[in-house]
Amino acid sequence: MLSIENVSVAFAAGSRVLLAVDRVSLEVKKGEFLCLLGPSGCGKSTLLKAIIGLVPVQGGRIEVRSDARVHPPAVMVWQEPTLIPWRKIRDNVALSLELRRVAAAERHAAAERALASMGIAGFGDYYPRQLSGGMRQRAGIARALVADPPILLMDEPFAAVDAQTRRLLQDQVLALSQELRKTVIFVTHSIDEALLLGDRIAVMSARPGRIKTIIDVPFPRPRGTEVRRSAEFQDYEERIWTLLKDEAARAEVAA
Amino acid sequence: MVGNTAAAPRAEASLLPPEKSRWRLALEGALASSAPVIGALLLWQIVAETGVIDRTFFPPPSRILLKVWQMNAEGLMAEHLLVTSQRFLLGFLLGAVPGVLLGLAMGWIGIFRVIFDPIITIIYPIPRIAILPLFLVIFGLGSPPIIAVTALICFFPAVVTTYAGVKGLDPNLPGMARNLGASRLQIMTKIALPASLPVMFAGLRLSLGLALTGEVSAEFVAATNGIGAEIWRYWQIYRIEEMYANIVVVSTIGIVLSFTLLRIQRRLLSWDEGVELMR
Repeated sequence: MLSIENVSVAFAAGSRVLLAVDRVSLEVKKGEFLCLLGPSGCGKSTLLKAIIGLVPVQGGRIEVRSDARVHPPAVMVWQEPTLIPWRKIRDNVALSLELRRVAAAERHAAAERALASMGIAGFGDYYPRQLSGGMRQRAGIARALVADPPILLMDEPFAAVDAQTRRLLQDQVLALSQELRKTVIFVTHSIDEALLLGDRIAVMSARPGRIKTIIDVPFPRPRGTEVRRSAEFQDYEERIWTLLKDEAARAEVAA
Repeated sequence: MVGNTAAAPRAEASLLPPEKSRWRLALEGALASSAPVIGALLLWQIVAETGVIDRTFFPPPSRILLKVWQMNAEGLMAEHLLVTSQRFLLGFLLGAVPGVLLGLAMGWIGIFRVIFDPIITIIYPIPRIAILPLFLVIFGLGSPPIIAVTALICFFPAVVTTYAGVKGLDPNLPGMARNLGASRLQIMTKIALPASLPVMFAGLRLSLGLALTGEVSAEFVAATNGIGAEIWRYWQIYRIEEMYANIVVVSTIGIVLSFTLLRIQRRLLSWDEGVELMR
């Protein structure tokens, strides 16, 4: 579905060149939920931006293979929901259809469906600032669902919401991803979140970001949040933390 | 005890504000905001009539309004009002529209920013009215130099505020729209332009007030007609009431235009207004 080969991304930081992503290779299969796990500032988000062409890559190549000629092939759910403040939630959520000049009635129907599937039906007439952070993030996910791309890129979508909302949103994304069978790349720095949601977890090193190892998550689907309570889950959590500990420490020193 | 329980519901009921219609709320709002103005005018009227202040310099408002009406009836007002309005509106359009466009260009296109940012920074502190004699040399007497100086005065606040508005845009929004398939044109029309509207209007309203001041000042020295020239002429022949009447008329232009712009702004930017009201 998506293959990333030897991709590097560098930024100019003053007079120095900062290598954010260092020769990353990843193969993501159709319908797979891949989590990118790594310490803060390891280039996870940068890699997503490179996939949608928002930052230029220095080397290597990114290829999306999709049978349907869908545009855009990969849609981002942003860390901050990045809603347009002067548009009502409905018109934010239906933006991709508006850009494709779909008729208003059809757009509104699609927006309502997406809002309902994210549990915020009936909030279409509100402006973004009238909603809570969690509801705004739901609207951000609904916007990506309306665009209906083969690949969904999620950039720490729950980083900015409180812990309880986070758990609710995790449940919802888990259920949705199993229902829609979309290809998802999900960036997170939470081991628990990666184990709960992912089929595979690509563990990244501190900057410059490299893929340190890829872990297959053994829990069968459909899975629910009860997997958290299994001994195996806790065992994996420990193992991954051992892998990440040094990287997290390095990231902290660097920052 | 019995008295307490009986009193409780009544107290609760009185805590709820009585229902008011929209119309009544609007009327009350208008009365509340005009009361201080009317009060001040009344006070002026009283102190002028009783001779506490010198009526030669501060004629009572009633006499000034009467004078406006009389002068208008004698045909001494309309021509000058028309001339001033034309100069002012032309100057405003010729200055503010290019100003807004340059501000947008500077915000969106790197090369414009690189070229104009330092130029604007250097020129901005120069008092624009000081350029008037140069325009008199170039254009001669009459309307053109006055329109030119008005345009120049409008230009800078329009550029600076619009530019600031585009720069203040959430940097992720254009990328988000592009990711959803927006073309460059769609990013401009659906993201960048509406995002810049609030500050653009702030810039236009700022320009408006400054430009009217500039236009009248220019008319003082460089015109034979127009309200500014009339104010100056009546000062020279020591006709204070006529002077006041013209000041009232020129102020009315400013008030009317400022309110018009505010109304357009409210209609276009209701989302912004809603946010303000919620805080």
